Amino acid sequence: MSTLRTPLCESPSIFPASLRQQNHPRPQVGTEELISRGMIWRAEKTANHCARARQGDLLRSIPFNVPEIDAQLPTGGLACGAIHELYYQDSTNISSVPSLLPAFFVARTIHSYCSVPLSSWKQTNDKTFPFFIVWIGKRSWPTPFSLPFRFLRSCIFIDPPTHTLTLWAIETALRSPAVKLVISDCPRISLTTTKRLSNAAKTHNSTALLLRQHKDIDLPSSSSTKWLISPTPSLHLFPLWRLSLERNKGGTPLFRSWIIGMESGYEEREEVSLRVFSPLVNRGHEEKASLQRFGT
Amino acid sequence: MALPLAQALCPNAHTEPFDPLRDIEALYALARWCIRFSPLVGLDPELISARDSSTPEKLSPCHYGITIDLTGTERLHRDLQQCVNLLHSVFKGRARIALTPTIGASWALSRYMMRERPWVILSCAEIPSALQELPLQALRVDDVCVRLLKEVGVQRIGKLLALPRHTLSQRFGKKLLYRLEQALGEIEERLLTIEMPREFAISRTFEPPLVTRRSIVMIIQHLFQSIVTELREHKKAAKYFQLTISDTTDRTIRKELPLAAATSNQSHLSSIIEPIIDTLHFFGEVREVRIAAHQIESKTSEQHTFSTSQQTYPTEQQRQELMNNFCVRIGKDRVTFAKLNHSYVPERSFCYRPALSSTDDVHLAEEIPSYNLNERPSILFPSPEPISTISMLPDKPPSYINWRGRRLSITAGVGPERIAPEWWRSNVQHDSFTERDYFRIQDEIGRWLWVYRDRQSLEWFLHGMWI
Repeated sequence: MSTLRTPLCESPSIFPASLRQQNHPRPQVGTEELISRGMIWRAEKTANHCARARQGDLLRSIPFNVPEIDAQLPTGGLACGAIHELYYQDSTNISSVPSLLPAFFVARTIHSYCSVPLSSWKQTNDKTFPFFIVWIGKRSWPTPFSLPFRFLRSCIFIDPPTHTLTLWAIETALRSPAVKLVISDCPRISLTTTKRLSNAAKTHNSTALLLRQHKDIDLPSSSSTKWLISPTPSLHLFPLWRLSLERNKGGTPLFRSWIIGMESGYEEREEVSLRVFSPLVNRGHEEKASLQRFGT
Repeated sequence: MALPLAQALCPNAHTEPFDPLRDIEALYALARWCIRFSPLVGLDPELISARDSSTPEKLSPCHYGITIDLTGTERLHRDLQQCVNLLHSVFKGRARIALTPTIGASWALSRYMMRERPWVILSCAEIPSALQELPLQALRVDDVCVRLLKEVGVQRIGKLLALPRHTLSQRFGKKLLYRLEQALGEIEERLLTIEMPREFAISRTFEPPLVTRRSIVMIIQHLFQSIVTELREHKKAAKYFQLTISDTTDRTIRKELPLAAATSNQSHLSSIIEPIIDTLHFFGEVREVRIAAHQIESKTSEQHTFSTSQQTYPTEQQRQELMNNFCVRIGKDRVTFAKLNHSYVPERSFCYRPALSSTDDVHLAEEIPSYNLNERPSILFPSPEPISTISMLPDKPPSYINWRGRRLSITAGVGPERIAPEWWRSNVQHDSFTERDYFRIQDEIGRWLWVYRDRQSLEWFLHGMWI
């Protein structure tokens, strides 16, 4: 691009003229006055940003915010600096990967790192989450309606053409300081590969959620947790899933399973919440009337 | 004249919205083209300052012009009159051209003297007589000064020249006298010139040609290092690199590196190019290696961290480096951002845009249709899959569906949600989208599916899932 040749001029100083004079005594100005004059607002803003980010950097887990589940996990949530595996199973054996639960983790990650309610985010000056969340593999991409709208700019969607490039992309994303969560439609990988990915995640305190085929659930891996999700019939008018914790490194070895559902509001759709439903609850009498209306 | 009136008077008139910034860019490109006539080509300072302050709407059209300093180019053009005639013919007579010894006189004559042929004045002595009949605005003075002069009966430059000079600055301001003397050539005027974009390219020709792969790789890395050093010396960064390798049989390998963000970081560029070089297959003896950097951007040094302690949040540079890695290795079209569109039609309500082309308009949550988790599925099929169903008309959800060769009984359903064509769109007549009734249904194993019935063909389709 061309530049215009302009005459040289004196570079502007950030200090007022009175402070630039050589023989003039420098006035004693308090910090608060400097802030009120707008002279050190940038420093203050940067410091706030650093403090918030530092708080995020020290984060060791992304909690589900569901006491029943968090209590089972050794770090009180999905451990940061580790890889986790999510398997999907239904009786039709269709080849697909879950997307709603990963989208929930995206919302929880942003919430945990920002430490502010996402719905009030627009009240602050910053409109972007400082880190990237990387979705790898087209099958894993959810519709943007499942994701926090305001932070779509923080989500990168990558479609590698080969399995080799998929693994390269996962590792590159995990090793980047700009990434905090990687969600990938993962091909069949060996124990060595999972160890390599675990090391990358551990070194850079980033988290990977690998969406794997159900047939690979018994393959050895170095992931911290393995989750199995499957749809379950619901008497409510929204989807329910059975979420099973199949592996829990460093936690209780007991097999645990929950019936979960997700909710969100119109105005605060970033505040996606997970609810544990008891499988014994039967509100069929409430649903029957509405179902009859539809002739089902 | 108002546009509707103009269109009524001249129905076939071609109209386009006024876009001054685009006009300035076009004028700038034209000025760069004019460098072939003289190395010193300039634009009006008012034009540049209006562009920099983003207020070009207020600028007078008189400032949209190009100044070419032909001093010293007589040997090139042989005759300045011939050069002016050439310019006149190049612009097909649509440009108003004046050649005078001063910028001010050229500016005045080209803007305010209506004449088909170019003005040519080669001596300063002829300038006063040429300017005599021109209005005072031709001297580039402001409206206040013109009004003051009109109040005392001075409306033409000829009358102004008759007034004693020493009284002018006291009565009408210093600017008037300054501009008058500039036009007459009594004081000099600086020309705000433009510069040709510098080309960053480096090449090496080898005799005898390179044979071993190791030496070819070494020279490629060395050339990349050289070009990055050159960029850094000029405080520039490039967003697009092109590597060309020619062998002795005139076969050429071209590799393009389109980056997401401009860079002049040597280590980052090395990490990008090394895997690319590994994939290159050289045919034989390499005769020439050339690397060119395009899409040059200015780069300034900036402080990344406020304190010297451990960095806790990613810098813009780290984010850009990640995007560059992905774009070069995976492909610029395969790295995308999601964008929400202002549409109620599910297929058009969002799209994935390549990261390189995306701008800040990725999400505007207040302006797009709002849905909660249960209203739109988490997976939307690229094209709806046809299904066969058993359902009651007119608006009941299906009781059974056949999908992918499997019969599924439906245990619950919610709907219909009718989505109609968006009649407010201009191309609705050519829109293939027809009215649909969408249902959320639950099959026997608990999956929630998003199905619809086309109200025109009454066929059923599965469009998405909550999974």
